[in-house]
Amino acid sequence: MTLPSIFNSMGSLMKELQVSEMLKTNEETEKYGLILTAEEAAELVEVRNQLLHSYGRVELDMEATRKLIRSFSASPFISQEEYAASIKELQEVFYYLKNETEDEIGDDNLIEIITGLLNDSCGGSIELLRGRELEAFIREYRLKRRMNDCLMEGGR
Amino acid sequence: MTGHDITRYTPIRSENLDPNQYTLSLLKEGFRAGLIDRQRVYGIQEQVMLILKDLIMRYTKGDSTSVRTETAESLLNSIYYSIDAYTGCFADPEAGITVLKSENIKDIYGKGVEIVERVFKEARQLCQDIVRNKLDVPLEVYNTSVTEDIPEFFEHYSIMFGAHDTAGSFDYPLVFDDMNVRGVFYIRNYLTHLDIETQFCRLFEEKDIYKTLAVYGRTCKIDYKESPVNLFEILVNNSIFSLLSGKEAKELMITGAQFEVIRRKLAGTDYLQMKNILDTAAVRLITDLHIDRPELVEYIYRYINGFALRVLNAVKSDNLNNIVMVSAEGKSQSGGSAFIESERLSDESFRLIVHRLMDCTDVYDKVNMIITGVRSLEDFIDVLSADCLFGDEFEAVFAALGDTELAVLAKTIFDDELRSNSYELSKIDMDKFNASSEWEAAYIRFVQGLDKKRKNSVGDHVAALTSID
Repeated sequence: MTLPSIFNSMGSLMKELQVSEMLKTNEETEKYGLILTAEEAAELVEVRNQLLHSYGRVELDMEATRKLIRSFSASPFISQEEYAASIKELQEVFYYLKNETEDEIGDDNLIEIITGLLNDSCGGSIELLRGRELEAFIREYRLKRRMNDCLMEGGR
Repeated sequence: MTGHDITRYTPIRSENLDPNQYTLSLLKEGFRAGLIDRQRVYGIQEQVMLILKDLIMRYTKGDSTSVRTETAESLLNSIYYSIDAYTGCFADPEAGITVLKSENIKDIYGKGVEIVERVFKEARQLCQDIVRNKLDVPLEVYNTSVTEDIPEFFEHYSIMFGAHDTAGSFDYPLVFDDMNVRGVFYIRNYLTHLDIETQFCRLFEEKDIYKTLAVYGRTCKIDYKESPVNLFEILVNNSIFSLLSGKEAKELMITGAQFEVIRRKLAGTDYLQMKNILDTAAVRLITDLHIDRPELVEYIYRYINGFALRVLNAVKSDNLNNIVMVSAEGKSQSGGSAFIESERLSDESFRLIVHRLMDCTDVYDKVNMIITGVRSLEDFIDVLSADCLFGDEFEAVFAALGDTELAVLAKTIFDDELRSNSYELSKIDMDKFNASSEWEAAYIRFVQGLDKKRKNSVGDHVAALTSID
């Protein structure tokens, strides 16, 4: 039994629900002057589904994306012009990190890490985040985990 | 009521139902037969997705809404496994469709989980019984399966997240093992069969089991201690053959002469005759061994059903000696050659025997290992020369040999002397003979210590052997 076969059979209905959930975020981001149009929301859902597929992941609701939007919309560096495009890129950063950290970091913590890196070390530049900060973060994360493993083994 | 047995017509084609994806195949078949509409099928899938969503959150302890695809697929399989446990309860598949149409899937899933939990508890109890009643046999695969692999399954099995998992499939083979079944249902089947087989094996003396295993290892040229061999099969076969040779069911050792009796009895039989002979033997086996447990009786009959064809084929291709474990004991009495040159051990098997002999401290075990494990003269002499026997142990080995084997050894040691003494062993002055090895010296001491009658008998065998040459 494969999940894609089940998803495909109920694809259009699910997509409508996802777009509608995405548009609901406007209620929270409006106060920052950030709004997604119906087309942008549909495109974001499409991109998200493709990302999930290419990163080999399954997610049955839009909760992580909504949290990502909620956290990112409060950033002082974001403007309406690049809003939708930035969300697209941040979704990829999120699933990429999820895999690279082997699902060991929960959604909330991971979103906090991403927005922290973006706002503090990268001055709002997603390009910088993707190019430099992410790799440095992953390297450091793996090193820490390795040291922890060594300590655990040594303690046995 | 007409009094006739009426089978109710059902449009469901049972051959289209897959036991491992029962609900999904039932929905597909129900849809094909017009018993359920597309909308309801979608509705069921949607409800299953909601269960999956909930399970993902539980799996990640609420930390993550997404998981890797393989994890999600495994969780989905686990959900359907429990749903199948409930929908599969109905003998009539149409009743299963009715349930799927009328009940909430979450409720069906919950009832399925309860069934899986009950089967899990049953299987765990069986596991505890099996560990408690473990056989004391030198079979590494059996011992590891019973003491490690099976209990480990119960430590790691997750009804919620991996109900369909049979990750701990076990290396110890059973005569009936349906690998198409998955999860805890498979484990329960496996343990039920293992329990039945164990009950049967317990009917035999431990020392007889050990000897039979040693003969099995020698016959199949394998290291039976390390190999995945099924003990039930070996014992039931030899017990049946023992009966066919005119002995008791409990007696597992079959000599060459008894083998000959069996061979002649089975020669020229067709399938029905063979089946009849084996069925009759099975009835006697069950009576003689006082087997009254219905499931064991049924298991034996089920085994014998398939056994008839195997024996028939073995008889036809003159390979019966691969199924009947013939003891090496007393082989010289049956006449002919005591050592069988064609049965030389592989280098690996030889090394293994030598290592075992070196590790062994019990002289009886050492003798048993050599007598049952070594068949060719060359191997025998190599073992005697391999520095794995000490002091009186040589004499103990010679004491276990028949007159023919002793004569063969005499001919090997005193070849030149026999030629110059008209092949008469009694004429050789063994005191003056210069033994070239420890085992030769031990052999001379042993033969000199024999009583006159036995010495003459060995001498006669030497003469007989040289006349054949």
